[in-house]
Amino acid sequence: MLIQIVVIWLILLLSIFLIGYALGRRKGIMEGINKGLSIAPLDIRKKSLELGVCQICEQKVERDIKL
Amino acid sequence: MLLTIFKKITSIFLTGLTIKMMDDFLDKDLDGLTKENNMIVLLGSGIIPYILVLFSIACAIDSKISAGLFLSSYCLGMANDFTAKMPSGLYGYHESVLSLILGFSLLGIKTMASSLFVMAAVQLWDDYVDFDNAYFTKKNWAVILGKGECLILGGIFFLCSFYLNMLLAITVAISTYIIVYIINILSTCTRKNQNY
Repeated sequence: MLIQIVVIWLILLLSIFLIGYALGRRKGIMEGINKGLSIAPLDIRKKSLELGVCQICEQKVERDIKL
Repeated sequence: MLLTIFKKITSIFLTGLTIKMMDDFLDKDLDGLTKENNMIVLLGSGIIPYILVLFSIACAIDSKISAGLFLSSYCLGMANDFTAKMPSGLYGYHESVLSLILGFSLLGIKTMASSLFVMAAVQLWDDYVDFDNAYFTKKNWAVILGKGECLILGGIFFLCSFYLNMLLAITVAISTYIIVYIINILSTCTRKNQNY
């Protein structure tokens, strides 16, 4: 009897945890994708300017960039 | 009392072996290509009559549990091929629903529900373990739901089965490990023989 009560509580707790985990993970994945999309262009531009080589087409910078 | 428990354990183990062999028979072509451990590939198609003998013995010992486990595995297996047309002319989900109705009406709600929960738990655990090998397929629940969700849901199903039938849940869990262990030993022996 005691085992059955413990099992029911465990099922309830795990179910609640599963709902939270699944929702949180899906939201986290979407947030990660959006963050990556916003950071990637700036990161590529920064690395290209630092190294003097385009990170997408690997073309070298032929003239100095005047700031 | 002890004899009854021993009979049930034997019946569950034999049914588990039958289900694993049937599953391996259906997947033998794919497993042969991917070089996964497969009992039918290792022992040959001649083993099929022995599968039926094993299931007959399991049914003779405890027909309710054996039939419940087999129908549950059939129902879950067909649910994986949801829209595929089966040799009977029916779609996968038709056969799945039919086996569910048959199981619930013939065996009773408690027996069928406990079998269904424990087989679902085994299926999810199996998919969780196969996650790295089956990332390109859509038939893996760990790929569909996510690894964590698959494991937690498997745990919930196992606990549901444990609540309904303690002996069944524990025996199925132990039998699964023993059957996988036997297959690993068999495949190791066969590979050693092939090398010599």
